[in-house]
Amino acid sequence: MEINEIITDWFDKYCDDIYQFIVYRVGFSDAEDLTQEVFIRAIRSYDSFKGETSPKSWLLSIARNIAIDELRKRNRNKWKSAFLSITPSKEPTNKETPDYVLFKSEFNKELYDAIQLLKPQYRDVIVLKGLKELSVTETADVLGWKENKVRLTYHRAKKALKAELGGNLKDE
Amino acid sequence: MNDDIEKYLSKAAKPKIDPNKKGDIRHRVIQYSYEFDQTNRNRFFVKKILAGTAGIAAVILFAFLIMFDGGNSNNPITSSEFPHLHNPNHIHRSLIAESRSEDNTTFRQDIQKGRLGIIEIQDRSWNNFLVRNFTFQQTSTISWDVQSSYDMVIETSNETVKIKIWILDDNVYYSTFPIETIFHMESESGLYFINVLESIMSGISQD
Repeated sequence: MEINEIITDWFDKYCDDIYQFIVYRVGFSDAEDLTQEVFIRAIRSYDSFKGETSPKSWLLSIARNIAIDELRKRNRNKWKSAFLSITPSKEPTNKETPDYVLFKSEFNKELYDAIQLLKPQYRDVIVLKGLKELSVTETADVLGWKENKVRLTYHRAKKALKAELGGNLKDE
Repeated sequence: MNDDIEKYLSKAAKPKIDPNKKGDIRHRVIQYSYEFDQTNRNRFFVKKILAGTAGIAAVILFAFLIMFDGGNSNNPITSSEFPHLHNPNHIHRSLIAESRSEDNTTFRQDIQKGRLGIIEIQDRSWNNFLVRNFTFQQTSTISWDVQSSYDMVIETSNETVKIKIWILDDNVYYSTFPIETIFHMESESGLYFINVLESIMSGISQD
């Protein structure tokens, strides 16, 4: 199979998984562009994919790295505008995008907002294991952790999430 | 109680990309994979040719250097040996990190784009500041015992410049790396530079 056939196949199978991970990890703003970036980066580094993990886990690990880079970039822009007198970005925040408005009206806003308040490690494990329902092994592959660490962190992350949600734990 | 959270999470919304946008992204990804595949095949071919040519060129150059190396190493340092940051447009990016060297003889190897703890700046006003203030003109001296505060890499169109920076009593000193001559930054700019760096670093430690 040629690389373009493999990537096309992966895109059709996993693009929504990647998109959902990015939405919960960094927000709606630029989530589509970042999803595209995941597949572009996968093409570039395809030679390093050895098949030891599933393609989905490999793509999610790329998505996680991209999410970390993106958040770092956003943080950089925050202080840059403060200290170098640069006009702040006019890009819409999560709360302004049409996708977010739709999401908020149809689904559980409280949960989304509570996840955004968790620390990055907890957010990773909650999104992968809790929301995407990956197995412990798959989650460990994506995060590059040992399985025990996944279990322990997931347990703590659920507690933290529950604390963030307070009394808002309700069925949709 | 954590099981409630688990159920709650499994029922959570799973947003999907708008089908129209998804089609566009798919098209761009596939287009890119074709281009990448093609470029890589060509590059492999060119690399093979270049490898042979480069080997021959390296041998000739080495022989040339052995023949003409006429004791230039003892010449005094001239300004032409320092980087010329004349044009902000020629600066692509600056990468900064706290120094780790204890004796000023090493430079951080991990100063690369996207690495944890490394500040990357791509900004016109920052580039202007660098051009105005890293002039390599006002020489100074500091004790060799003083450890440098920051390592900075400036990538320009022509060269990659490694600079060590010392902050001592609200003064900024700098040198290209490996260190030969130390320069002093004009006081007012130095203070501004210190404030910016400290703010950046405190921002990183809060992330």
